Amino acid sequence: MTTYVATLRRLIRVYPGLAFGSLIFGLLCLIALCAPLVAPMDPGFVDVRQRAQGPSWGHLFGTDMLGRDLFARVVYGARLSLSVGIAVACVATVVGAVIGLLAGYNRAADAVLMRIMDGVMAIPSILLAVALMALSTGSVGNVIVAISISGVPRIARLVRASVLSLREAVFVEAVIGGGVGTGRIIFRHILPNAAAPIIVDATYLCAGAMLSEAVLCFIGAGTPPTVPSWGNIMAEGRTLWMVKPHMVAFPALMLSIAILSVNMIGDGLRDLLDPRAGRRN
Amino acid sequence: MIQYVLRRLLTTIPVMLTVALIVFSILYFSPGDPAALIAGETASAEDVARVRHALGLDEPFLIRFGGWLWAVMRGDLGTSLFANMPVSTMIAQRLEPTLSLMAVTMVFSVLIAVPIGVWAAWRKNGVFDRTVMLIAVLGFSIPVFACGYAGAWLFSLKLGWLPVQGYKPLSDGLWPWFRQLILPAAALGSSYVALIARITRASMLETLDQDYIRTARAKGLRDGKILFVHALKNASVPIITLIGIGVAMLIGGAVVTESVFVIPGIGRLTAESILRRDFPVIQGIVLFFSFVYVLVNLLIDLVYALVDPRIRY
Repeated sequence: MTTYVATLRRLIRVYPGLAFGSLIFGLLCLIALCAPLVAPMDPGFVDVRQRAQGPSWGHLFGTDMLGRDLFARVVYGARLSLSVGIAVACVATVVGAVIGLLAGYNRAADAVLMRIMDGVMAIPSILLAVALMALSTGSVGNVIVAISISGVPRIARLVRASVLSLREAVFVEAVIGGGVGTGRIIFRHILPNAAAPIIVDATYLCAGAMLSEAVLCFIGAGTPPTVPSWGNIMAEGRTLWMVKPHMVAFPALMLSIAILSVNMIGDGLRDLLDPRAGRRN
Repeated sequence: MIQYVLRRLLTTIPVMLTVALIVFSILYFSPGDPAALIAGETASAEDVARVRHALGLDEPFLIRFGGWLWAVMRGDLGTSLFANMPVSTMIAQRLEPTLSLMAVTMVFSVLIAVPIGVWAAWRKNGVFDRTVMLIAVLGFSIPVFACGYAGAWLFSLKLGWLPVQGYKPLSDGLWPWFRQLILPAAALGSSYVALIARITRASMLETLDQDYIRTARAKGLRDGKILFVHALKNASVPIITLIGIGVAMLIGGAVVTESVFVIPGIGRLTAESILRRDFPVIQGIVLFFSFVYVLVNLLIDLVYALVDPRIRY
């Protein structure tokens, strides 16, 4: 037990950004999970008499144009933002890793897959997501898929490069010489050695996905307005922001904090997992 | 040099073709039947089929792609479903505000970020360095909405120094045009500045460790000359790369910035077209911006060759 505490203490001292970012992100996840406890009010409850009020004890973040409690909406919005961020990081990483492995191991697949990846990379990610969302209905699943697609090439390139260099490594040659099957080589020897940069990139993907999700909802290409999201709360408050800045300020603040915490985790992990880069910077 | 330029030009062709194929597929699989739309509500199934045949909509995928690509190469991006206007005309009408916003953002971001990054690397782990890197993480994380609204609230509404929203064309004069762009460009550029400052610092740190920097210092050169002539030039390749990659971020950010600051540019057009489900316009915009992005990165690759004579692929 004490060794865990000692390790944790050392981690906090050496990587304060990582510790701070994780703490904030953990808190945000907790808030999202326990949303009904944190904000007992119904985020969809319309109270016309309480329209467009500023922050008060009754409504911590004030109310929106329909009189819905903004604190509840922002808290419930955390659910969407965080789950989209985490889901996109997972989906894009798994799909990207599979494509990268295929491309790294098979020359024919490499030519085709990497050309497609180059094409996807050449389309600015938010526009690709916008175009895909225009095709489909605004469900959370579709938002995740649309944002994931533009994240895939980054991971695929990274994995492919690691496979190509690791395949030539002496220890892999030794394992091949030992008669180990390709599947085992990939999952036991190549992927673990390529994991560090993938994890770091997945973290940045998560931050980027939260931003993309907010942008999609903000311009009306995201989830339907019935699902509160930081993006559509800002979009709804946009027309009145000059007189009622709180309608935009709170969701924008939460979004900033969430993205900041994930980026701090990413920076911290980069230093932690790549000691060379950590010393250099 | 000419060979390098030609070879680099050739490599962009497959990329642009793939982009075109992806963008075409998006429209190809878009919901709704244009033939039924054009034939009208009272048309029979045979009428719809006739219209579909007349428009070539019953041709196989690749033949339609070829026809569409040929049209795109002649500058024909199709017709808007909503405005009944060529998409290329709609994009051209909205081009000036977007280009102005992005150009002002890029120029000022680079002018601000590079010296900051150089200075932070020079005084590594000093107060300036630590402060700047902390602000950089913040700047990188705070989205355009937050910067935009906070900036507009403080500098326009409370202090009244700058105009709140809107856009003034360049024909109204240089200063009104620029004044109107200061806030949007600052909001859009905050993450761009942070990104460039970080990479400049990292790249400079690596360069400042090199032997030739020690030699330059031993010769008694001034610090400024060592930093900006010897070190920065050698550290510039990753910086220039990131400036190019960051253009994608600027394009995405422009969509939000133009919505926040009510700028009638292509970003606004994107948001409007989404609400109207105007697929040809969305397709045209994606294609146009991807083309711009690829072109910028092509130019940047050519700049490499000028900066670093060792680069000759």
